[in-house]
Amino acid sequence: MNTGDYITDEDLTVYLDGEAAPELAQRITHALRGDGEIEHRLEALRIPLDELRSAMDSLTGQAPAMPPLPSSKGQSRRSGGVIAAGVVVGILLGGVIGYSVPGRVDNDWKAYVAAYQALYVNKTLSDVHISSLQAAAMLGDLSSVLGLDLGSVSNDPVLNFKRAQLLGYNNNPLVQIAYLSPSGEPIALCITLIESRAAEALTVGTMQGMASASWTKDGYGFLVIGGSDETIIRASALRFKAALSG
Amino acid sequence: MPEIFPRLWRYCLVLSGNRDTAGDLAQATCLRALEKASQFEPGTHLDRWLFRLAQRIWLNELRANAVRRGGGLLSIDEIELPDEKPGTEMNFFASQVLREVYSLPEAQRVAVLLVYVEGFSYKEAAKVLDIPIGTVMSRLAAGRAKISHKLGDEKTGAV
Repeated sequence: MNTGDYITDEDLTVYLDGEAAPELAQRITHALRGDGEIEHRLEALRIPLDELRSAMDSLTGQAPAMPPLPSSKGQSRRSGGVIAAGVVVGILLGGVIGYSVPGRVDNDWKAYVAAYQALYVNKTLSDVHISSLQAAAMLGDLSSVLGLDLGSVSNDPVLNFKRAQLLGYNNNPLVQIAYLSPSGEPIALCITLIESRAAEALTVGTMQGMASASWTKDGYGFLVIGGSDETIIRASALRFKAALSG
Repeated sequence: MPEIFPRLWRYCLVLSGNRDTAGDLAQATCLRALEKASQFEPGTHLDRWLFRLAQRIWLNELRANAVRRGGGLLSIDEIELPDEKPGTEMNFFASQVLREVYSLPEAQRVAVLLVYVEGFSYKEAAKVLDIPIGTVMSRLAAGRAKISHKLGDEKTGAV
């Protein structure tokens, strides 16, 4: 809840929960850098979510078995109408097929990015040509949105920079910087704002069949993904990590 | 529904603070779901629809009775964690966190469950609870502040 320039506890909660609009997230991110009082208030709102989820998960294990429900025939009498068996079956199936567990903001953005990146082919980027001036302007705008200087990422010595664009996840800005590898495979560096300000070391793995490397630092989540060569992804991630840390 | 029932029961437990009432409420919700099956929109989330039904039944039909007979008052002993590893620090801390959540007013602890445990967006939680998104924010902010204050310096790894 934004009331003018003052950052309320609701604003900070929205920020911690990854639900802040980009403008608010940016304002808080900036404020945190120069305002110890805001940092103190943010700390006063942090709670141990992992322990809470773990404790709550223990509770579901204590749930009783689902009681038997009346047949649709008996139920029809109760409700004074006819419940189509197909609808009931649809609901029961929906419980299995249609149900999905909503994601945790700090982790699931990578899964969405991976699914998006999996749609890229060489041709998606091979015909994209932008001037260094355009690239600088593009990255300048995106740096402002994220509150992070991205100026160096278009000059990678190995990957061929193609473009940068602003996407969004859970009302947070998500910047995707696209490259082609020396062998022509699409690779992306993606950066978004996350809840945790803790630094997580670089981790290399596989997502959606593509090599990936991710790390976090200072409230940002980073993901490098694309192609199948883990060596290229790891080395690229290390270069980006060094370039963006300064 | 069998897949979702344990989470529905947990939601009912957080609403009512009482195991017996939670069982009654969860069962009543399943029955109501069958009666209103034609109102369920295929392709939408069944869990959110069930939670919304449970919320309405609780507020309109069961809450007053439960509170009147004392069943709606929180009994910490009844919702204690299963103590699988007695004495371990993590288990003790998780138990303490749960206790602080349960000590919140009903409106705040339900918002905390939906957003932080179930992972619902603010918009989804607002729809389940039939309240404005701004109210969800206020309840979460108040809940966070109280839990954080109670846990004090022990909240290692908090986010």
